[in-house]
Amino acid sequence: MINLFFYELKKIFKTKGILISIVIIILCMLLNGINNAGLLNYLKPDVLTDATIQNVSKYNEKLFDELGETEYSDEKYEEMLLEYNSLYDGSETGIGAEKGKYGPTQAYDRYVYGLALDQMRYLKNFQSDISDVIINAEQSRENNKNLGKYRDDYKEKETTKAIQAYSEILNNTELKLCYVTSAYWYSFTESEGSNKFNTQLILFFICCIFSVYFATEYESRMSKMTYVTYKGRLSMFAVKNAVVFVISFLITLLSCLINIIVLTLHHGGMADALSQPVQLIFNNEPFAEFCPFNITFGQYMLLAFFMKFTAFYFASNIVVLMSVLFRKSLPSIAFSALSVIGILQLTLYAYQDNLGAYEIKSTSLYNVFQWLRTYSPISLLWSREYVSSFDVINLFGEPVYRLHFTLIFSWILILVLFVINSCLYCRRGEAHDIGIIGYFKKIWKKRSIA
Amino acid sequence: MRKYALILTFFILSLICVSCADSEEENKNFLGGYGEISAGAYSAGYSSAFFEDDVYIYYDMYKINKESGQFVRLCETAGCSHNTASCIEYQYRNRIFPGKDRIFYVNGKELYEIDTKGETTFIDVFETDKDGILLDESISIEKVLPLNSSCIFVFCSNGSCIYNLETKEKIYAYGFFCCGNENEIYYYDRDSEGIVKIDIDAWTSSHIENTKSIYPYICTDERLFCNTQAGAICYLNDEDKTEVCLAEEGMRYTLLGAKENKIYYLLSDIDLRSGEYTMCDLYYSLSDGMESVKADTGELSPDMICFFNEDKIYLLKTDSFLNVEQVYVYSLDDDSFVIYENSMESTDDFSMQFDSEEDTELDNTQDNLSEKKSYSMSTNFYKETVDPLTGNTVDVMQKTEPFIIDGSRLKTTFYYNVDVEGSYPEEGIINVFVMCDGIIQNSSVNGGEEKLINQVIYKDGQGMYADIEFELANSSGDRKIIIGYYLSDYIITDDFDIFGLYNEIINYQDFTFELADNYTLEEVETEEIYSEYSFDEIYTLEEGEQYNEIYELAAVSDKIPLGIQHDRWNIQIDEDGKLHIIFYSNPGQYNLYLLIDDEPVLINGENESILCEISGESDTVVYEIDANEIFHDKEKHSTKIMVYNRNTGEVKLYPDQIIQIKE
Repeated sequence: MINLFFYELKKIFKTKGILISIVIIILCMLLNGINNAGLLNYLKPDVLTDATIQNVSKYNEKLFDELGETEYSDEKYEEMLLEYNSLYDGSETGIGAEKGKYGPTQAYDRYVYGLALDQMRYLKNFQSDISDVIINAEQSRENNKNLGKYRDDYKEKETTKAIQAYSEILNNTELKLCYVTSAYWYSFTESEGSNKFNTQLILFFICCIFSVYFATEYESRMSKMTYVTYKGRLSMFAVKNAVVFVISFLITLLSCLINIIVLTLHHGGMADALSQPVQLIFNNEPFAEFCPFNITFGQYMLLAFFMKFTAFYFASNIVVLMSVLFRKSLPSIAFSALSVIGILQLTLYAYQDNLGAYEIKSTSLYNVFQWLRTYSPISLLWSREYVSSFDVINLFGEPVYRLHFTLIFSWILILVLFVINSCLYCRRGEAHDIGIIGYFKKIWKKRSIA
Repeated sequence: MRKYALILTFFILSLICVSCADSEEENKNFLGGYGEISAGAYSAGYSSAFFEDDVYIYYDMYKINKESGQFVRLCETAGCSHNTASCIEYQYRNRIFPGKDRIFYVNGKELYEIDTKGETTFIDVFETDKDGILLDESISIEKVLPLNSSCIFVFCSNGSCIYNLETKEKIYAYGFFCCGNENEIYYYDRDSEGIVKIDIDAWTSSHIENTKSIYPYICTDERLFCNTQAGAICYLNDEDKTEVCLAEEGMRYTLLGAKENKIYYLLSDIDLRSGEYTMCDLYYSLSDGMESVKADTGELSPDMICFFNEDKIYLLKTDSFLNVEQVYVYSLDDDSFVIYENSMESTDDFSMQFDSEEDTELDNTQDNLSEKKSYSMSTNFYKETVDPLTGNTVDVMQKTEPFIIDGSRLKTTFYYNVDVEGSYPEEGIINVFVMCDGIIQNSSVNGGEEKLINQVIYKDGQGMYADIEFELANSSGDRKIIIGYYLSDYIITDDFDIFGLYNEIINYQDFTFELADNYTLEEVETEEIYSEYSFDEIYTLEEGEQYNEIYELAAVSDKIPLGIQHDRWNIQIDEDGKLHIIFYSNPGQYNLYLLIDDEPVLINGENESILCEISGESDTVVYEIDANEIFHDKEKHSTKIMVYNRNTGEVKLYPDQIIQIKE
């Protein structure tokens, strides 16, 4: 079996079409990473004159290295404020001419110090924000108890769960400054900015790879040969699926690694941020202030990786399903792209950012988004949405985190797909060779003749 | 076998999907409560209304459990940021308005009717003004008032109109004080400065003479009742002439509403100058005989916000931040009275309640802080504002040192920083003042001469430290101290072809403390308060243009506080040399300062501020001053007004106008 596995892997990397798709995927990922790092801004003419602004994160990192693992305290905050005030001395008009400690001029010093101060201020407000949430949950629970015949047991469980989750976070969170650039979290959020387009490209080429991988066997009539061999059926399918698993894993790993490498090269390391609780990650805006999980940012990155992998692996299984149904490359690519990218497009369309809007776009569309987020594994690409608030669903009267439910449900779906695919792959009869379209064409002909 | 496994898997999956679907409780309504939502009570000046169902009373972001009296936030989702379409607050807060037996729902410029389950039915869109010009994207419907069973008033900035639900016709009318019965509608027209009457059947309007400064408030079947500026109640008789029906010297009558042949009003003896009162009661009078009967209620206060519908009167008591403290509900049918008190505690005092027995770090802090109350504070806050001219951000940071009380003088140090991008003035003047209970005090900055408004020069990027010292009147009780500053930002170039009105920021820190014999100073936290508004036009003067013409500026805030629909002022000079200062705002009591070149001016020879009241049905107050008393030369002068809202404790600075008396 191991030999078979390596043989299949070798086969995949020898196919020209697949190799081209892989190269294109890697280029897309590189483009993604470069764009997330803000490096494409160099090409915009109005930014060129002030290109050093792009290096602000480097100055920022230098400042944070100096500040060290500063814990929040009122005295430290006062101290930083005074320091910030003192940075104004001697600056000229415009962006400042005096040489700076962290950046090229004092103006940059002032700017990056302001960013650190922003983060301190956020730490200061964090505890009161979380305790507000707890108080509101307590009030809500108390109110529920006083509702008489309208008292809802599920509501009580939900509010208790919220109180426990946020109390734990409040008790266990050490308020510390750390360097982080917002570019990093864009690399894990597929729904934002140019990531949308790149994700669709990556999915499209996944469709190409696996369609070709499975359909070529039927097109070249090798399937008949392998079908009659000792390990030509379920074992063969299991090995092929293992290859699909490994390739999806590698694609996910590459997409994350490329992003991290490009960002680290340009913006500096994020070692500090990895051990920082995810609630405290802040750069101009909080990343997930109300995340109910007691996890660090590093753990979140692993979780986001796992979610992304689940989404890509599910998409790959859809592609396999189409391949074994149609048994030809082109229809398989077309239908799998339609379904996978179709679902992604639907989720993108249903996802609306209503922040600051004077009009609400559509609550029914938002409900569609919520439904997709629960039952569609592709929505796992929106990893930040799952951790940014206390998001639970009612499962047989118990509050369950939507994230947990969606992950488990996705893997059940993947398992179901595996079973279906294996049945289709291993079936005998005419449909084995000619695929579903050919099969229906034949039936149609027979009926016409009759 | 495989087939059965597949079928079983699909069955389990569908079961899971179905179980997760929210089972719709039959009795649940769109606000998260139970039972039919009854069309609520409204108040003309506010964009929130009261609604009620079987379990809750709803107002703004609160719902009150009628059984337990508990206040709960409308959105009960933990950690909700209230800015997505799944949040009840985001969907319905300030978007639902009561009609006669129906509820209206507003989404941007579209008007819908909404039923208890939340199903909406489209009515119409209000996207143009009276000339057919499309309204700006940022404008949305702010308020809907019911007039009778077929007409409503839709307040939508320039697109405000009276709308007939049956015929879908509109009559454009600005100003939200209007009322009607089944045959007529009355509204106050700003342009013609009087009441306009609309005949519903003919859908024609006619102006009623001599109704300037009389604002329509209630229209029964027999007659129209109005509030007057002097605090009396009057009505229009059959010949369309005003007749006073309820007035008494030293007393203020505030109309609330009418039911059957009774009109309801608040009666108080409030002194406008000091804001003090000794009595405030709810009365009703028979509209034909005007016999007054006092309703059996608890203690009321004249600054309560009143909401009226045909069944109940809701009286709302708020703190200076417009947080709801108490709700008084008076039932008109059975003369009963209930008070609901908001016991939700703010975390600013760190008074948290945890269910678990664990000791948290913050419990210790809570104990420490609860001892440190209200003597002095050191606050730091940071605010980012956007310059409306350039779109660039202006970062401002301020801080003060703790107050030091030295005898009867208070001292503190004020830090100020400006981080400027764009065309904001690099060097300019900061005007610093200290206000105590709405009155600007004589104070000195950096050891200088004691003045009402002190001027300090600032340079871009430089920190400014201002030592402030002022005398506090030697009497006990709470004092509300505000330290404020604003920038003198207008620039007139030598050739006078441009003068710009920049985003003027006023930031202040509100301190409330008690004078006691022994002062102890501790540090406490306080909330930051700021008000901000921006201008939407720059006025460019052509050479030779007269400066004593009227410039009317509409200041549109992009952070409109609750209930404030428009704040602006206007100054006119008439042929007789009389200066008319016209101030438009929401109901309330104000101290108004006139600043000429950033110096407060004595009004009518003696008063430094004008104490004025805008009562429930009007939106303007007008003062006449002899221009020669204020302007002693023929030069150009910047004229501003600073307004202290006695109800909310807010201070606002209104954009200046350049005045030059040429003759």
